[in-house]
Amino acid sequence: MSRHGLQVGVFCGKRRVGQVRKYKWIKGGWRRDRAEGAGADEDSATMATAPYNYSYIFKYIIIGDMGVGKSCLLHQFTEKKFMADCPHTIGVEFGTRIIEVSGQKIKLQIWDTAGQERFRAVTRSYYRGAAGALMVYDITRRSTYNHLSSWLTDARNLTNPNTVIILIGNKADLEAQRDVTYEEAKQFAEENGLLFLEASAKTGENVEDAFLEAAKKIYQNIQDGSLDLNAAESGVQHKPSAPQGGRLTSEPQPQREGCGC
Amino acid sequence: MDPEFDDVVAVEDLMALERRYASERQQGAVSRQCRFEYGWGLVRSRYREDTARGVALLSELLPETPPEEQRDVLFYLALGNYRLKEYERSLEYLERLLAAEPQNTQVLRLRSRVRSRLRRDGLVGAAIVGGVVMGVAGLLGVAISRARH
Repeated sequence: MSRHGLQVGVFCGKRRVGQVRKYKWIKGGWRRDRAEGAGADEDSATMATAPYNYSYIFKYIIIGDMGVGKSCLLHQFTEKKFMADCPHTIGVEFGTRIIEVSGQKIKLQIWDTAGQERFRAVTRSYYRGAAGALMVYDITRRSTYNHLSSWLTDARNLTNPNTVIILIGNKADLEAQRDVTYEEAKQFAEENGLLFLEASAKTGENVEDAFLEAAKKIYQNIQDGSLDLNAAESGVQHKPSAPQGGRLTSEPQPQREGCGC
Repeated sequence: MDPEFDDVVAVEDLMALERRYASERQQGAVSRQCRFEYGWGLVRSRYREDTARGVALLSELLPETPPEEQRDVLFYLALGNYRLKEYERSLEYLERLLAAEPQNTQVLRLRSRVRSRLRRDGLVGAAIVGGVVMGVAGLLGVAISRARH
């Protein structure tokens, strides 16, 4: 009988349930075949065995009046699609994408908040620990621009002083219905220390840049020391790609009910 | 794990919601808004008893909620039941939401998550129940593999 290889599977009748594990005869015993791609099951894929193909995680939030296009900006950025008839967000939506800044891969974790007033208390709890905030208004509706001071107050009060805030004038494709000029918004941004871009979730114009510019600023803050990576709510997690004696931080694992560990 | 559905409310936030709820109760009736916010916080707690209380609170709230706001309560009822592993009940709420909004991506995402959990937990359940049968069949599986090599 050959001792080259052994596969063990658990069967319920004819149907395989669970992992197929491969074993090799090594040093007088059957040992787990490590040459195989680890065969990690879906749950352990998020734990230490997964390759870190990014070196930082930045947490973002998207805030602004209802209907300005926050969710559309998120979907355009993460899925390159424009959702024409987007229903109002319930509470918060979540999206991720990996981008590159100065040769570093960065994972953006983006919380898109509902703009409706009744969700204000709910969404406020997501501001904590945000590295970047996209504050969005609709260039065709002046009221959404007028409400910016209120959104900015919340953002300043609930995030940390280093949080990078970028003002986004969405629906830039609807030039004919423009209600807010580029210049006045630019001035408001400058007066308040905000980055500023006009964008269109529909055409994709400046959508990538909206997320990227904020990331560049955050990264710059890390490089020049003004953002302390060890601070509890910096909104940035750093994962060294190879252990070099630095602390390996892990992504926060949500509690699992009934997990005995 | 999915931050969108598994993330946990911060303790200080939940405590603040609790205080507001208690103080409104002292003054008489608790507003719908306050009940919704407290229910939402409880559902997202790390503790199962809290989540169960949140689901109960939101269930009471649902019939008193105006039609255009019901989707919010339904969604958190679905989420709460998912977190309690009451997958079938969660799916009922999700199907109600989808009946009105068949393309809602938030709801579709949660439904797909609940379904995959249901499948996975169903398999594990079958494995436990069929333990003895599997023990024998498992050995057979091993024997056949060895023969091939």
